[in-house]
Amino acid sequence: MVLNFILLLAISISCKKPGLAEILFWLLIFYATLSFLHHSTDTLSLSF
Amino acid sequence: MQLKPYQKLPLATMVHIYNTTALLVINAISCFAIIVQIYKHELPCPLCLLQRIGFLAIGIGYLLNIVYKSQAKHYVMSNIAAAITILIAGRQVLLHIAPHDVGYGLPFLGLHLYTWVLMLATFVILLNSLFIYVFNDNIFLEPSNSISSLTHINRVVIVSYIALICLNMCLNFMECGLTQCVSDPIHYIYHDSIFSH
Repeated sequence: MVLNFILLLAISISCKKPGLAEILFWLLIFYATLSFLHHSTDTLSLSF
Repeated sequence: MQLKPYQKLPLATMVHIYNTTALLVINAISCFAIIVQIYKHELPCPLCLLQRIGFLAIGIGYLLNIVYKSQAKHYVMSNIAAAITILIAGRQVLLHIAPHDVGYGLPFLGLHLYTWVLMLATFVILLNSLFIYVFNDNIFLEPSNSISSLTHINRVVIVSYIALICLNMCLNFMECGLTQCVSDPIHYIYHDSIFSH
């Protein structure tokens, strides 16, 4: 879960470079969705 | 020709006010969640944390709009983050929809926080869509901003947004560490004595 916040922080800090911020945003969406699926189905293992 | 109310202000100013206010509201909501966590000693569950992340992610689109030129893809980013947040909050609402289920955490104004999140995230999508619909392509024709042209209010809002992310990250680390959060947390892994009353 902490990794999601780290990604959020990285995006907000890297907003000077919009291209990088957008890539990190999609990474965050992907990881947050995986975390959600893990908590909803208990089929994935994401410990960090 | 009679001007409509929204046409009396310069469009660039209106777009700027909209984005700044939206980010400010997201800051206020995140701040409220942290206050509830600390003063009510109400630890967020994993789904609650994901909703916080989703809400903060909605702010990224507004942040990029403030720092740079207002772009359609930034609003789309906010809407996608809001859609994911709706999914997560909807899941939690459905988990507690059974009769006699008291829900998770204390209610605020008669509704639990996850129900508020569900409604607010829906409202974000509607508001963004309506904003683009009303102003059409005109909001994307404004000149680009630069970081040096940001006002003091913009800077304060952006810095507080980043500070709230850091605070959330620290609280999350104290609650769960680097491991997976438990479903029904009752204490912090680290420094539990700081916040317990």
